[in-house]
Amino acid sequence: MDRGEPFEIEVDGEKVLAYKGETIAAALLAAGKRICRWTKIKKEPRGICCGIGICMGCAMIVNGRPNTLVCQTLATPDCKVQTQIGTGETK
Amino acid sequence: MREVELAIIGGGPAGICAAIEAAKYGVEVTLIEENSRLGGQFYRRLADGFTANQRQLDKYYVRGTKLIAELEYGRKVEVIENALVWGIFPDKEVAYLRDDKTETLKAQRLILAEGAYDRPVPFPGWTLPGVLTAGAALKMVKIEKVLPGERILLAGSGPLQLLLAAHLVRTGAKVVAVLEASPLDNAWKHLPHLWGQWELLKDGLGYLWELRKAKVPLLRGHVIVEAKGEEQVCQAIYAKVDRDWQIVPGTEKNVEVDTIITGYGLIPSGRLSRLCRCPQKWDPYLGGWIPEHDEYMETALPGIFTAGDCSGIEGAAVAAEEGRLAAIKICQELGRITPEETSRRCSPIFKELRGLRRFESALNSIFATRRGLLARIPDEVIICRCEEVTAGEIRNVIAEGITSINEIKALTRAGMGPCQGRMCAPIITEMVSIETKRPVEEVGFFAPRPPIKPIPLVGVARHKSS
Repeated sequence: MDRGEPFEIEVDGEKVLAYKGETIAAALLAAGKRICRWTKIKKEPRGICCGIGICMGCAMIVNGRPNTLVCQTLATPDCKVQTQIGTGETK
Repeated sequence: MREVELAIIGGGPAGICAAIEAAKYGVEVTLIEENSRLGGQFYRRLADGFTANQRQLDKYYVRGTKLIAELEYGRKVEVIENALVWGIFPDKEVAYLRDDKTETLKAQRLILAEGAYDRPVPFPGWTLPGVLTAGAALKMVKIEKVLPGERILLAGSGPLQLLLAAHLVRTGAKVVAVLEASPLDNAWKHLPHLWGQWELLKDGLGYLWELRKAKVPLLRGHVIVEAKGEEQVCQAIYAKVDRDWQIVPGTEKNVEVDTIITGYGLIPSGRLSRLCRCPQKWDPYLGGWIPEHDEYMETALPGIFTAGDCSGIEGAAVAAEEGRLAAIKICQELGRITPEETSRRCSPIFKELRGLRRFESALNSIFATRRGLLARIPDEVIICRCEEVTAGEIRNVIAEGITSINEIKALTRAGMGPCQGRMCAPIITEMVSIETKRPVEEVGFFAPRPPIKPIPLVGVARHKSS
């Protein structure tokens, strides 16, 4: 299978490879980055879980917008993804 | 407000087939799909920019492509993609969000084809990064060709696990084992019902053969007990279960893994039908709460139909036929065809459905989740992932005599988070039923309220009138 055109996205300040047409979640998993957010109360890590936009495990800050579900969001060139702490305060 | 004759919500097998059928008779159809492309979970399309030759795609993918082409070819179906339906109001007024703006339309008839999602089954560590659902993993490996990990344990029940394991192996992952919770001790009793569905049987045997060749152990009567790890999964504990799927103490084993994929079958997605106040019934073999409906898939509320897995988990082939039935009945109600024409068109569909349903119900009898699986969830395990409410907190409230699921929500905050209880409600329902020894019918379900999915406030404020 051939992927779309490759480009870079920025995840917590680091460059990560992504392909046109794939979700941010796919790019993160391919790069071995699994923690999407830290929970508000118990400060526990969460990652991609349901893959269809239900469980909220993969809520991250994308281009400044918190609570973006990366399993439902396509990667775009130069998009900026940040690990989310609680409900969206940045680190 | 814009008015249409028929609005179909959900562009999976049921919604697509319903749209094709209704459009044949000149009904004005609007098909609303949440994702950027039609197909649903089962016929999910490759992303724009991804290409593959026919050999690399399985036959179901090819079938989905044909079906979508049929829908698009020369037919007058309005397809609205990237549209999230967040509310349905009286008089079948549908509100959906697209590009951060709400749009509304009013439909004379509605088909709810919301689909289904992976059944959440909690165990210590199930919230750790590296624990995924079978649906998520299948989408990743099939559509995006990304492996969720390197050393993978599959745990759950049913044939979907075999399909997923085969895909993972083909893509280069090490599948350390597939745990099948069902002991399969009574499976032979159901064999006669599988007779005749050769294609589905052949698929199953094909996956088994592939896994055997790849030396992937298939352990019957085993479940995942715990996922261990600090910031992500690094070890799994699994154990044997009895016939009620209750863990047999002392049979626990450890295995080093970086990924655990759980696939305990699916749960019907019933939020829109509940939002419409369609009367519901409890059917554990069909996956849980489903809207009551007649043989033509019309719910107890006139003009509102249901089709596909949201009306009971029976797979894509049944979903397609249900979509057709609903559409044909709607054509009759809208005066496009006579009742005689309806019976003539529907009788082969009913016949097809009898065979398919016999097969699906045999599978469901073998693989449907047994209660022992949820009977002893340790107190510290998080049940509501959004509000971080544990099993112990929920049990404490039940012990105080609170047994209405909506009161439990009010007291513990379980189900109040952004997923609106989609993950925790099925678990809490069973917990209350188990702890109080009352039937699930008496426990009920969360009363859904719009918006049924988190949407930005501007999405409600910015209303595009059309």
